[in-house]
Amino acid sequence: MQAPGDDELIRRLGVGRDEEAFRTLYGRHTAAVYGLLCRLVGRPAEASDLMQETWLRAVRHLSLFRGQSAFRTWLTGIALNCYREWRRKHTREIPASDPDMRTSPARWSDEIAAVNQVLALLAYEHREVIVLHDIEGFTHEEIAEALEIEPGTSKSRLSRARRAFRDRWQGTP
Amino acid sequence: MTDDDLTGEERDRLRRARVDPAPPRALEDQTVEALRRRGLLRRSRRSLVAVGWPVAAAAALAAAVTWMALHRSSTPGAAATGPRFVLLLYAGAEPVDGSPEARRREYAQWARDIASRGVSISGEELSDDAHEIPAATGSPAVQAPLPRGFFIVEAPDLASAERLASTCPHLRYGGRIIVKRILS
Repeated sequence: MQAPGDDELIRRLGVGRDEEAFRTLYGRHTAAVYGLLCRLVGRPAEASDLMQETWLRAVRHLSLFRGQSAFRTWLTGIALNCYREWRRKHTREIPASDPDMRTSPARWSDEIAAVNQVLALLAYEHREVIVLHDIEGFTHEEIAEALEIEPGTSKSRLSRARRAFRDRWQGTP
Repeated sequence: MTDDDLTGEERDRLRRARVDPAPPRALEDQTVEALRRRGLLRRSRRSLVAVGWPVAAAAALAAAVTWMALHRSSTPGAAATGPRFVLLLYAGAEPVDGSPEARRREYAQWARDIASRGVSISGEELSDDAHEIPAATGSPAVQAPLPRGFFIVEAPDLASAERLASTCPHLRYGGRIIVKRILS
């Protein structure tokens, strides 16, 4: 039997508050969005909180999903809203990654661990543009919308962020 | 090329970093629970706790070896003082894929997660074999499914205990849970 598509699951979730439909959607889409949040936030525990908040908002506002984009894209947009709010509260914090994320060989191959380690050491405004542009493949217009900045700001931040990343990378043993 | 451009090697390195770590296993159930509390999800049939489950055939029970080595898990110093409930875990009718050891670890992790929230919880896995001691009055034996294990949890009321039970990984493997209050 063919697995139900996202549209069918969304309908069942919206109309019948169907737990099984939710769990299926959760299984399909959470890992990718959670991965993005981990890279942005640098701390898996906080990424988990944001991921849960993302799903709560998504289900609460499911009727606003019109199917004009893929469900994953819509969910990612909500996750970025959650991240942006989180980021406002943590503007003054010095980025600090979770030690597990930097060192756990079970979860990260050496090169990926190194990239994440360097990303975690960058200022948030640098990290987020590198993650969104160079890792996730967003355009500057998409970044501008996600972070509520101008596209030109995204470009200039990316230049500075790449320099900062390169400096840190070369300093990595 | 300016200093701000990525070299091909740098570009590839960053693209390769797009590897998604697995979310914490407990996150799904925590999210479901949060949605339920807000009335955004209905409890699914598999997480309903009720008496009167159909009696599974003994052979099916034997084939459905499911689960857990249960380590006693509770918050140090957190003695159970409120109402306590027993969660009786029954095997489902279908055989379960995967290794029993992995499931045991998953059950133990679930119990540890609960204990880490300050909830007193303990439990044990029960063996497959059982021996009935006949009634002294000579009454006929009662044919009933046998639990495969149990948890004892502290909870303010039955509804809370049921909510907690509904997050148990046992349900994901087709098993059933009956929740009963301990009177003592």
